[in-house]
Amino acid sequence: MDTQQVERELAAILHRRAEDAMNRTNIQEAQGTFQSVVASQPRRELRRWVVAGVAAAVVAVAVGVALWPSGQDLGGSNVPATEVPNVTSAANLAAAEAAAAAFVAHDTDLLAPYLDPGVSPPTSSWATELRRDAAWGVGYLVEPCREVTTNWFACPFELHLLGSREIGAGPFGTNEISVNVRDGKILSAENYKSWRTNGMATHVDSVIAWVKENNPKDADFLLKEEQAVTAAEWPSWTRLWQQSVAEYVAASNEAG
Amino acid sequence: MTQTDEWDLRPERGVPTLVADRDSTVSALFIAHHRRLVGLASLLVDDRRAAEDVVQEAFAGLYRRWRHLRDPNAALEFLTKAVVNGGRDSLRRKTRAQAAVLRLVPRSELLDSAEHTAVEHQEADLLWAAIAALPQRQRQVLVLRYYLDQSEAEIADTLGVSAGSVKKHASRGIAALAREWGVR
Repeated sequence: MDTQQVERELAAILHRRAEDAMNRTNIQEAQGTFQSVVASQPRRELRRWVVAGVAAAVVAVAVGVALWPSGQDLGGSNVPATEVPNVTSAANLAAAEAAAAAFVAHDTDLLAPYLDPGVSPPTSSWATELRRDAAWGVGYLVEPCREVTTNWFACPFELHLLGSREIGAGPFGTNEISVNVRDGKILSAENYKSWRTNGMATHVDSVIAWVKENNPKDADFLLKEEQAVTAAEWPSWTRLWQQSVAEYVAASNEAG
Repeated sequence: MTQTDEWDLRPERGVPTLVADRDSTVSALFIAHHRRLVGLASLLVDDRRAAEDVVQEAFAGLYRRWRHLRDPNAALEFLTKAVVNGGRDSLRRKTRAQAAVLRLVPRSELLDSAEHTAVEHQEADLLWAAIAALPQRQRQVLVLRYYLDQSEAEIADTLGVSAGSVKKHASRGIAALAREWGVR
């Protein structure tokens, strides 16, 4: 196959695939989601943000798919705001609230009474993430869940991390836990996070840059993915992060 | 852990636009360009839902930045860049997630997904698989070149790399596809 043939075939495949995606997307549904997202946008301006490979990975873990699974469902986010029903099931709401509480605490015990028999909790990863949150000083603020359409609940949340509260950055909002519940049991759950656009990437990049510059001998260790931190390393990883964040906060406030 | 990519959304030197116009204007842009951007995003990530998420985040970013953009053309440029870069980040997250987490989804959904995959057009899947298997930068360059018909200079601007880098990734990507498709 020569270059021109490849180019023609490539262009044809790309256009067919894009056309297929365009035909399958639902503009009304997407617009409803967008309206609900912007309705909760904090009035904070983005300035300039740099996404480093390390930062992207770290941030993704901070609020992303590693906390909750990366399934296809964003359920609660993908329905028109205009379809919000007036009546919610108390049992379903309780399950959604439990899911949100469990997510914040990374506590699968809180999930257990509400899980549908067909689903599994993220047991192993949450234990690691709980320790990481302690090291990074992650604090969540979860707003009340609301039923956005039948059996789908959205629980918005903001978070602080890595000294953001102390330096006046954040909280980083426009995040949402979406929970699919039926008969008081959780069928699926996922968190929708806007870290690329809510200012969190800027903050994390800033912390990482500071660590690399001011604590180079520990930088590689600190920037390890938390899954790679061994049991023996956790105490020192935690202590070093807490110390680095404290120093970063002091330096930022002094400079600012 | 060592790769660093930068995305400069440009310094804020634009003339502020009235915030009062923001909702209606961004909403109009959403209606006009959402479908097209989902098409673009679908070429940069591995499933349509992820593509829609990337586009949602792009518009959310636009909404927040709105008063710093000069005009609708700047908004469209912003959206394209946001989708391209969002697609990259989406793939990164997906890779990590697959390696590290347990799924919390009903088993029946997994079965539905498998059945759906089985009935998809096999030949198209094979051709697409070769594109999806390309290194991310090559895939981005080829999508921008052969789907959006961007010039090398435009691609370089979109990706924040040099024109030489664009040329290199394009030729390597085409060569890889020629090898892969040639043996089918």
